[in-house]
Amino acid sequence: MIPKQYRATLILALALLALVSGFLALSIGSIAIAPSELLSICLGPLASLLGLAEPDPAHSSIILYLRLPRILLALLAGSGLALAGATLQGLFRNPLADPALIGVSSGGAVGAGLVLLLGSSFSAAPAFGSSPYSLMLMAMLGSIGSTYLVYRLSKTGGRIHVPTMLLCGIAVNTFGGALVGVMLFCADLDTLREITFCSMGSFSRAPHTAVFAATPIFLLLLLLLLRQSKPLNVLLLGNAEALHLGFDPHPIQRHLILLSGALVGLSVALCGTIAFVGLVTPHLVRLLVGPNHRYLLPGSALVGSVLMVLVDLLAHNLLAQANIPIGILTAFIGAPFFLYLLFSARRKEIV
Amino acid sequence: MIEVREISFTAGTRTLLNGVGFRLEPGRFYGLLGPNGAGKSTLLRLLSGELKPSTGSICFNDRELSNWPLRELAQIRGALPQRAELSFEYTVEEVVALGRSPFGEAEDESVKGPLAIESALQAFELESLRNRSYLKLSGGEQQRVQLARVFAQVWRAPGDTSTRFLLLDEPATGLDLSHQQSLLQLLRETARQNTLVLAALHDPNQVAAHADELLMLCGGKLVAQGSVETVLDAALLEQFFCVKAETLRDAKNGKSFRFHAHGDSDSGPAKACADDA
Repeated sequence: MIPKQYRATLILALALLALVSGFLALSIGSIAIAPSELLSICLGPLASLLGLAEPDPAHSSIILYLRLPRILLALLAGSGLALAGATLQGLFRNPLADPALIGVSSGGAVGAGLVLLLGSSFSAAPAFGSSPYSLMLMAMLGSIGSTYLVYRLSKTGGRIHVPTMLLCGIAVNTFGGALVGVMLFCADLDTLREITFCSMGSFSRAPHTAVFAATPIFLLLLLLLLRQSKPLNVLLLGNAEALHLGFDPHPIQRHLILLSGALVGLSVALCGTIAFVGLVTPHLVRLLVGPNHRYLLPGSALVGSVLMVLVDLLAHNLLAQANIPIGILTAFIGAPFFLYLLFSARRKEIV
Repeated sequence: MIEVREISFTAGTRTLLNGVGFRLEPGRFYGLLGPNGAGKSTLLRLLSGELKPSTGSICFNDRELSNWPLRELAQIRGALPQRAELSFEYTVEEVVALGRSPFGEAEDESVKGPLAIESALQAFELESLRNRSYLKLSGGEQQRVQLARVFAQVWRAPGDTSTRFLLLDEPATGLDLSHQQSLLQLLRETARQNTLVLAALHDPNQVAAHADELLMLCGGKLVAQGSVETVLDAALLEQFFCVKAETLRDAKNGKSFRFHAHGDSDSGPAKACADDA
């Protein structure tokens, strides 16, 4: 853990790292685009004023319509999932909570699947193109609903029962999986592919209009959740203790469920289910800055976004001419890492 | 001051507190005694607002408890529940600093917050543990950290004489002998500085030696109340604790008690309370 006085500096450095990695990721791909040309594309009409060379229009559209939405989505979804993970771990007072493990993501997948299914049967246009908002809204509602359900079921007498939480998560996941299965059974071929993609995760399937439409919602939710560090810190002491310190736990918990569920649902709607980011990132950040949410929340959001950009680069460039689904990559990297964390934590307790 | 009017509390079909009423003044240390299950914790949880009384009312400074804004009350009233459930690796200093959370962000930058945290760490001899993880401490050390957190909450700047309230449920649990003694002395000194201290304790001798007033609960009823000097005696303890007690007097330290196991199984605490009903 790094000393207290350097934690704020570390957060700043991470913010810079997120920006730089996003910028570099824009220039990497099957067609390499030089950073100077990238800069003039990003600056748009301002570039000529600064005396930069006019960018190639083909490169311009590659950046603006293909890479920028993808990288932007990776940054936003990465920070959203990691922040939701950190919040859920605080809410459940338990470091094993992860949006995908406890059924939050599958709630979102059910909501999204429903829109895709109904969209395809009632109108010729695919649901994503016709109304990105209905897809996002339903996925958000689905995630909020499943978070609330797991939270209520695992709370007995004001305390979270950890095994119950994990088992409820399994039940909600299984039930959500069954619902998605029913939808797959009913779906036509196009919808089938859409729903399947939803369960594997990708940053390049969502159209750029949907990504740009979702960006302000993402940013708003991220900002609202980042402001919850003090209540989250106090809640870790316990419900009674929080009340004694002047923080009424129930409205705070409802607020946290709403915000983190909405963030996970939104990212499920745009890039499908991506597991383990929400679990591994807060663990990593806790090793660096400790459990204080004042640093943990912004740190998780930033590290999550950097991780997702890196994973996305791997997914696009590991195999020539083929994109690996993100969810598969994160699970391959995340699951062994999770086991490593689990066992190193156990060793520490024995010592 | 705290004024309690005829409060009762029922959980399901069990009545845990039945028609309890009293009035407590700041500047005094009240010891709350009673056998297991007498309703001590229930009473403290009602007073701290964690539970709502089924009937009756509770007032802090002439204002109904439910009418107090939570944050405002938290700035003058500290409460220590019996169990803590922290499961993340906070350092000792961070846990104690959480005691200052009712005071808002502005305080973080001023000198008040750090001063409060520092004096609380000092009072419970935690300076050398400040950077240790809370989870790696022994039970007694964790209890001292929680106590320091509550003391940081009700800390007053020098010269500030406004009233404070401290509600402590078995604060001496897990502490070694010397820390128990310094805790009780601290409670007594704190009470002298316009603070109302109400602490559930297990040892009648600690109440006799340090508290000003006694509140005794049995079977959900207030069975004795008054100054320790006049009300707390061997007969009272024999009646409600099912022990044989003997009063020892000593000119310097006042009253203390010596206990013997009770041979007569007929007069358990349950019977004593039933008789009283």
